[in-house]
Amino acid sequence: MLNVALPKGRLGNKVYNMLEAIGYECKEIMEDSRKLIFINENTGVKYFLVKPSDVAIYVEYGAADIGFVGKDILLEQSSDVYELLDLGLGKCKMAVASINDFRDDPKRPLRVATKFPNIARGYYDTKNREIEIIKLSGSIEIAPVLGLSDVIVDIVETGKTLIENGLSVVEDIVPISARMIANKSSYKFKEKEIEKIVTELKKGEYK
Amino acid sequence: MLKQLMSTEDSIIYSLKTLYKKSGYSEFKMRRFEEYSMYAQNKSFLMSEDIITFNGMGGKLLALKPDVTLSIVKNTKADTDNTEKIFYRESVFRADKQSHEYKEINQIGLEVLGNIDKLATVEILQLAMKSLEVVSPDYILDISHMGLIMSCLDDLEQAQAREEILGCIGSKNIHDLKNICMKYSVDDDISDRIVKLVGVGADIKNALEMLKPLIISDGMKNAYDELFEIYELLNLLGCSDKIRIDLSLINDIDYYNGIVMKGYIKGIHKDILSGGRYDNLTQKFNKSIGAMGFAIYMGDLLYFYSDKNDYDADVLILYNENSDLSAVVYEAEKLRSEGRIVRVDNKIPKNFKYLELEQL
Repeated sequence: MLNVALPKGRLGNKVYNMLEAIGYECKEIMEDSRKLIFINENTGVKYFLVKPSDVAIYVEYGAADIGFVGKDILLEQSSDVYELLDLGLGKCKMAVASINDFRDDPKRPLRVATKFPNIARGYYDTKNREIEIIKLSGSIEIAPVLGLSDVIVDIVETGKTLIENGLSVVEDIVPISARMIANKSSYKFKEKEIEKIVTELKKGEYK
Repeated sequence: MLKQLMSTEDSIIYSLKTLYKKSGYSEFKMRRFEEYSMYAQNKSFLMSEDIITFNGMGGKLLALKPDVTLSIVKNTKADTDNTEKIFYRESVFRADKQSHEYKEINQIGLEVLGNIDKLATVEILQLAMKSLEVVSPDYILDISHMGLIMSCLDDLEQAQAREEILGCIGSKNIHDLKNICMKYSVDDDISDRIVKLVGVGADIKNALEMLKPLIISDGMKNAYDELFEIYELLNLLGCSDKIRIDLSLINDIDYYNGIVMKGYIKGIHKDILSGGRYDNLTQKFNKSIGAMGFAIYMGDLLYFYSDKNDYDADVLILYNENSDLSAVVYEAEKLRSEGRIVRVDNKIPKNFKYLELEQL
């Protein structure tokens, strides 16, 4: 039995469709219910739906053998897992943004509002820039507008939210997309099953 | 009978200690506290920079040990003509990434210091496999040779590039690896080779075959030869089937230089055994000796076994003020001599579960 952690929501649905197409179906999952665990004995797969930011934790601790998760979460949590495939789904980027006429004042620490404190710290460490992190959970875009921070570090998909709030990208940090991950120990004992999925999903990429 | 009474953890430790003693390793006991300066000077060898420190009586800054090997290397009297073989069971204190708290980590491990030849290496690998077998027959020992990957990265001067590439190798992340190599303008030749090396993961025989065409430098050749010789000997000894080569296995590059290993048990989410050849560390202490060893982390095993007993005792003997006390003691001893777990009390303890109740 292969345990698969899927993120609830759009990405999870897309990934499920891809897995269904390569033979790991479990119709029940698409029904509108509150169930979180779905098993298909015939195909030997057990899906569970978890919060996207928790997928890597389920996999790292072996509750799931494999999982599907955004690179942003992997970077933020520095999860100790195998990252086997870039699915090319949910493409966006992690970027620094600020109000349109922003100029950095190097005489004082830069105030950075973000949901991703570890990514932000790591990025500014490489630039040797002293920063002060302001951890927020949402509506990051208004932080520089209200003067709460100088810049934000956040995911930018189309840039529409930024534009509508009078912000623009200052620097790109790293491209983001959905990845397939595997628990390191599970991989040792279920290598064939896991690699089969990787190979099949890869084929799908070029269809 | 004794085994039943021991917790699984205790019986594993007992079996491991017996295994190491029988193989001629002697037990090493270290001091509980070490001077902080030793760790401060060797921070790069530690898994985490967070160390619990406090002032000793004389005002010296002391530390709760975050690592065992460092002390062993510092204190060893071994040289190339006088090899030391030791094992230890110690707790170390390290910061935990998830909980952001210090954690006590129970380790049992062994080290060989001095002259490490082919046989010594094979002996250590065999002991690692036997140790895993003690925990569960469903195990895999992954090995690699640091020389293979590191000689590809030798020409890479940017430390940041090295770090990012090593990160990708460790997580078998080929897609980002290619991008990073491009970002730092690493030669296509080198980046292709690294990608191919990361893909080598198979039983030792097949892995060596996959590896052969990828060897280009003397450094890689030496590493390959060492792995091959070890394979030959392990094969003769009939114990090469649960050992695999996985070149994505990268242990700390400051510490390890030769063969490295990680052991996995089916059902435990991460490696429980880790180790390898660490001459880099002995050189740091100006000792020109070879060193190799491994440690098993006991903490993760606690969740693997559930030692939940349905009963606290086989028999609960209850007495009261009218009981013949000598008869109570006599009865308890009699039952215990039959191998039963017996508790004597004048009232039934709260939440206490027993199979039989005797009132005397």
